Amino acid sequence: MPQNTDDALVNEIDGRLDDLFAEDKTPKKADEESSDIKEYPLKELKAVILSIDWEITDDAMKRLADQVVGLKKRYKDDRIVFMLIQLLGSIGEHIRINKGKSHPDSFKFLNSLFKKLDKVVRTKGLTESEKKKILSVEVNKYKVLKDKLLPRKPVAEKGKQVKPAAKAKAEKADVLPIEAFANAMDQIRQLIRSEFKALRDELRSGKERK
Amino acid sequence: MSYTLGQEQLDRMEDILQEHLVDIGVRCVFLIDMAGNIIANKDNGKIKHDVYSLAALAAGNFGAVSAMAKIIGEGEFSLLFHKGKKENIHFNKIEADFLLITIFSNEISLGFLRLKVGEVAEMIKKVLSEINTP
Amino acid sequence: MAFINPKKKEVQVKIVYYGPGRGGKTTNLEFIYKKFSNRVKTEMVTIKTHGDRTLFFDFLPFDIGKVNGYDVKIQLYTVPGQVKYNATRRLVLRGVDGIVFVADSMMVRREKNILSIKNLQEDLANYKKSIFKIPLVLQYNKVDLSEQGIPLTSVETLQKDLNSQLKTSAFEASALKGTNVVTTMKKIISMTIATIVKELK
Repeated sequence: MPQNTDDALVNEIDGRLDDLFAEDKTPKKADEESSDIKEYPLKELKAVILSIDWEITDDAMKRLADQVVGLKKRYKDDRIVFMLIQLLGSIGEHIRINKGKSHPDSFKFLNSLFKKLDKVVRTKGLTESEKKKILSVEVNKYKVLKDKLLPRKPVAEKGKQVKPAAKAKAEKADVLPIEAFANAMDQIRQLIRSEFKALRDELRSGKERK
Repeated sequence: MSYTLGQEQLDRMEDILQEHLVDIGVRCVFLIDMAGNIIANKDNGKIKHDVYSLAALAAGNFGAVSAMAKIIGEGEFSLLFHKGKKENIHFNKIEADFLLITIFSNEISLGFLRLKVGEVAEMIKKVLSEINTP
Repeated sequence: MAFINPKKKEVQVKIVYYGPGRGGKTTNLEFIYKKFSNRVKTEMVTIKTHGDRTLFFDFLPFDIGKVNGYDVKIQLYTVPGQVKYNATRRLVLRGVDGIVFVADSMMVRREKNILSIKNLQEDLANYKKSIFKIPLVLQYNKVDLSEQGIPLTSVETLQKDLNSQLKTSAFEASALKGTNVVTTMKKIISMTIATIVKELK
């Protein structure tokens, strides 16, 4: 516990220092929610999300991945924000690999994640449990999306058992996207599994406290 | 000059429209020629637009925009898209003579739709090329 | 470029009403729309200016039922008649299957008719079509105006001006009153379908 407090303090100081010594950019008009945030940390991410909404290009997806890496470093001590970014990175990876084969809901999820991330980062004085609630809603959405994606997998496996001739035909058309898709799903699963566990533990400890 | 497409080609085109556009949540999609004739159309079964009038207007609209492009020295505008509060229309030219028109709600990201329409355009192009080389 | 869909057993036929400005092209379509409102299930589409002049085109689609087992969908269009709309007029003619040339019988418009039919010939040539080959019907509109003492060009003169080389069917008509509007339409539809059938063979 004391360690957590220290982390929070270091974080806050780091944040202040970042604010004070940040490169001068056009000052963003401060609104009610972010009156003390001079530089909006998600500015670049927002631009990337908007450009993906407009056109999905390799460049935009690469920029998203870069933002995720940068923001994960920045928020490595803020578990909720970190996990939201993690989810964002995973779904971004899914879209990057699958492009047009991505599930249509991936884009809704991407936008929703950004909105929540934005809210958590900008809103002053959100309690930890409020933040957790936001995260668990997104995690549930992720689960729903994952369930929608999974039924496709058995089809691919069945395809592997059919006769060689039919298999060859199926491979030509399907294997690339399906394999890529499976890889992406594995990545997402691995990335998320550990986070789920941590989340479950936290939620459980939260309940126990009540 | 009349042209005709075989039953099998039309079936394939409708299957493409269904699988790659309607099934991802597009409300209505139709393939027309520049004269405003409807070649293939598919919808989600929930809406009934007057597709014949839409096709006539879309062909006219696209023709007008292309003419504007020429006047300002652009060969062609690559993106033609009308955004509404709830419904949006996207136009995509296929070869010189055909137009793929997609009506979709804000539920679908434009970026994703553009990607899908691009893929579908390539597939349709392949089917259409068989008119010339039967 | 009639589109034939063997899957739906459907033929889409594009017929364009062409002619000088204020000649009565839109009035032709409006009469048909009113007369067959039970048959025309959709709204007539018009793109007009504030002054009620056709800016781009009018569009009236309707089904005429089955011909040789095919569902025939007729699509009537008008072009904007005013000279300045040459570009949009040309757009509407793209893929046309049959044309009704609506001439204005008023004496003062004689020159405009001749210019307009020349313009039609050029526009068609632009799509590599010949005015002598495409199904075409002439309509000498506004004959009702003689009752009001307005001087009209005689049918003989109109025939000489417009039809001496084309030698196609021509009808005296009043789009406003509906005289011969349906006759003109029936004629162009049957000529056009006959041509499409012939081309298919």
